[in-house]
Amino acid sequence: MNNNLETLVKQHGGKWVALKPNTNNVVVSGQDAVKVYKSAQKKGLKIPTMFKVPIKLVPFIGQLHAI
Amino acid sequence: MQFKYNFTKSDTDKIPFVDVIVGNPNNGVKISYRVLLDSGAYMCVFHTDIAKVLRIDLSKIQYTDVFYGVEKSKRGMRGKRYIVDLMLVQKGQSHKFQSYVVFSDEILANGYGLLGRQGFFDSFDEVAFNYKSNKFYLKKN
Repeated sequence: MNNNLETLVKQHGGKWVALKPNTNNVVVSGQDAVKVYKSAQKKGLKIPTMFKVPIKLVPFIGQLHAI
Repeated sequence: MQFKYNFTKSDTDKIPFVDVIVGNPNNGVKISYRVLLDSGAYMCVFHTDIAKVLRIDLSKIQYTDVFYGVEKSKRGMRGKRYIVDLMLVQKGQSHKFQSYVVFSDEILANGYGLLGRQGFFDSFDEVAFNYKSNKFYLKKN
């Protein structure tokens, strides 16, 4: 996986992207995850890597606990 | 077997992303999903859109999970629990297991799907982060 997260955010922030496996190379992007997934498969990716690109890179605290 | 990764660098951070294959055991649909490996998360939380891709009908699930982060929130986040297949694949080796995950449409627009302790970390014998050397790995004996 290469390291151009900022580029992904600038170009596709807030969207779903289908990536080539283990890279940040975008094959398809869009708001609808199902459409993005199917379009990526049509472009030859058998199992597309889906990523919801954050709208902005901010310090993220992911800690969660359930009740 | 060991699955090795590099942190993904941003301007101000290094983020432990993992591409995990998620499958619906009831219809065979699979997706690869890039998520944050989060030792602070109690469980795995995925975007509801992923359930749509996997053709999982969350409306049939009555129980709603409620979970909280560090923010001041009385309501918390909500989601629906479902058992999926999870698999890591790397360099000809793979580790597949079933796990429950919570699908939520309340993940922040600046947030990520999460791989948490219950249902992911507990399926490995060792999970290690080496921040300075920019590497992390998961080990299954």
